[in-house]
Amino acid sequence: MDTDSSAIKIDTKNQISSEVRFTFLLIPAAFLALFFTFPVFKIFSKVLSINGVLETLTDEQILKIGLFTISQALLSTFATLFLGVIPAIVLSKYEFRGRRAIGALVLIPFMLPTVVAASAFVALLPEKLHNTLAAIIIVHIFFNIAVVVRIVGLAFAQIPKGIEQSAQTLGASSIETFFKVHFRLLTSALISSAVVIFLFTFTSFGVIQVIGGPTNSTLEVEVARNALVLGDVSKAAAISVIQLIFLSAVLGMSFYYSKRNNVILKSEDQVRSRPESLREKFLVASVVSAIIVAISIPIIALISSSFRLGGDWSLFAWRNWNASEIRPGLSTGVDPMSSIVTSIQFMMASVAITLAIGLIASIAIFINGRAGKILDLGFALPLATSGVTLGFGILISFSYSPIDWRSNWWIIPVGHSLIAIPFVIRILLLKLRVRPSTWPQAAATLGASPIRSLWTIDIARMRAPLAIGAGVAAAISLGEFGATTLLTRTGTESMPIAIGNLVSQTGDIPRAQGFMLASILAVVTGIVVFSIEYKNA
Amino acid sequence: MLSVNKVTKSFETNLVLDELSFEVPSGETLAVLGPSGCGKSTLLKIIAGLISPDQGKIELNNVDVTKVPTHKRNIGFVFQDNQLFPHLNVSGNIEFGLKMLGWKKRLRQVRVAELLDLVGLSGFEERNISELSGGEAKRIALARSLAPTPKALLLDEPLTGLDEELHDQLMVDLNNILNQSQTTTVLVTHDRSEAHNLADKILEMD
Repeated sequence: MDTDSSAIKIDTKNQISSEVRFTFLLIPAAFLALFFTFPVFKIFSKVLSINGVLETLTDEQILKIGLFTISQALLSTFATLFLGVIPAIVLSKYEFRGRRAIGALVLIPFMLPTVVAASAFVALLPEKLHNTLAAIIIVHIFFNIAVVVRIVGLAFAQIPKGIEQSAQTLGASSIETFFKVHFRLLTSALISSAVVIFLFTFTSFGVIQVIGGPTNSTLEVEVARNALVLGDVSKAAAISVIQLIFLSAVLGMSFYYSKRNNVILKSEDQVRSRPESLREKFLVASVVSAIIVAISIPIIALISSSFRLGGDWSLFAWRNWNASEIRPGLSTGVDPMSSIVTSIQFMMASVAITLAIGLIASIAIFINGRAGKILDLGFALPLATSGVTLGFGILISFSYSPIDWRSNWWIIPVGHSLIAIPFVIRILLLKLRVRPSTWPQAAATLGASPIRSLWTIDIARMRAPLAIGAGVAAAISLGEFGATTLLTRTGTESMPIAIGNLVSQTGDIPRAQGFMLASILAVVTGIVVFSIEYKNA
Repeated sequence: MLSVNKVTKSFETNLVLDELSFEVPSGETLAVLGPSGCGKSTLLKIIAGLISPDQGKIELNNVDVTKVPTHKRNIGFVFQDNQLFPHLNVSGNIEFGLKMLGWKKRLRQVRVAELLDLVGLSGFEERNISELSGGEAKRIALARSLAPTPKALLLDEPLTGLDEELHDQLMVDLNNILNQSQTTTVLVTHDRSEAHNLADKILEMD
């Protein structure tokens, strides 16, 4: 069975015509160009001159913020790697009852909206830890541990079991085996996960806004502050550009290193073994209980805090969920109920856009050669661009007629879709590519035209992956904070915006209401992610 | 001398080894002959300590090693699929066991060259594992296992999966290598002619 259809040469006369292939390519490419490439160019054009960038770079305050951004990202990355490796290996190596559920559970924090995760820790951590570097790092670890478990776990599963035994027969103890063999074979996966975590934490925004406090600012926060509060568009653009260049350099370097360290492993069907010795059983039991505790405690703290008010149990937040007025004349400025409605609206629009563009793009990538690869890469770029930058680009690009769209509500779900589409493309392409290359040949002998065969053999199998893609797109849209912050308008705040606003207020009532909204969002995204993961595992 | 004393092993309800006993005098080669699934590989893994027997003893040079972990047994094991380390080159693989013993670099280099000479692959030090042919990989795996001068060498179907010409060539070479190295060897195979050609004694299992 050939898993990569592009590897086989299809006879030209049996190919889909170039006009059709071009049409499939055109639609998603136009979408990407309009809503991503154009805004990014716009940001670059707002930077007045090279001098402007240099001035920003040497600005003492920006320098300080830049250093803080890098150091908190590095600390978060190393702490997460350190804590994540053992769970990654244990979940990949052993078979035990409930393994799939634990595997799905680990992924939940990663898919939780940033503001929800941060709110959970506002609820959990003592007041004196709020607005500290420690709090930021704790939330980042909670969030990103799934990255290590996933990437390192997958790499570990590819290491042949016999290699451990062969190291042992050569006199290596299990610790030596780990450091001299496994660790070396995992280097590439460790670098990849470090880069992903570094990118996420470097561009951290929601977490900083909610639990970082006004004294700890990252470049991302600074872009938003300059664009929205200070109205200094060219400075915001300069910071964005610096950030984009820095992150591209990091990504480029990581590709180089992971290529160099990549060891080709013959992947074989690795069977997970049951823990046998007492030591193994203890290891599995402690990892499993640590995962359950570390993930459930913050969520429980969040939910229970929504039922508290000023130290007492209270249903106040849940009873008054459709009023921004707490008492006559006193308003939190945010209406929880309307934010739920707004979020659902954004979500439905974003799922529709994401599935439509994602499906067409996947087919375009599937049926086109090099042009398809370029499109695939193009759609991955918004992922390496921070949410704030995406929102900022859209904000400054669509403010003139005839494309004065920034005040239209649908521009926000478009932003969400830019982030969701690459995930959906991955999911769909995986399914498209895993099929025997002979299926279309069989269909052709049965009289199906190339386009007919694409429809009946490939697209017809997309129902399940599309459902998964819809779930992913919904979870992303419900939780997106960075781009939304730049594009949001008073009166139509989404849930994450409302949560960020309420939880960072000082009073008990707005906080309780923020915790309530965050609880709802946590439970909804938790269920979506868990059901997708559990089915997929 | 390797001695296996009344070794019993079952997996769940399936009795694989039932009070199996034999001895291999120093420097000799024993072939364990039997169809697949008869417990030959399990036997090798028990001798290496990768699996514990339910009952019975394994002795190496009259010392009971049944409770000794694999990495302290000083056993050479050539796996059926070689299990060479993909992140190390040929010399990195061969010197792995020597590093575990704390050998100095200079001595390791000498020993690696010696073993490459023994298996007929002199000059292969810097080769990548992924560049080796099937026969070459098998020879390197053999060299790697012999490098730390093991008390016993265990070969799991060493010639299975090689094409006919290579099979016959490697059989002759393996015979020479075993004779030269004077290592106590247990070799597992399902091929009668292999067993006759390579071993001093044959143990049939079924």
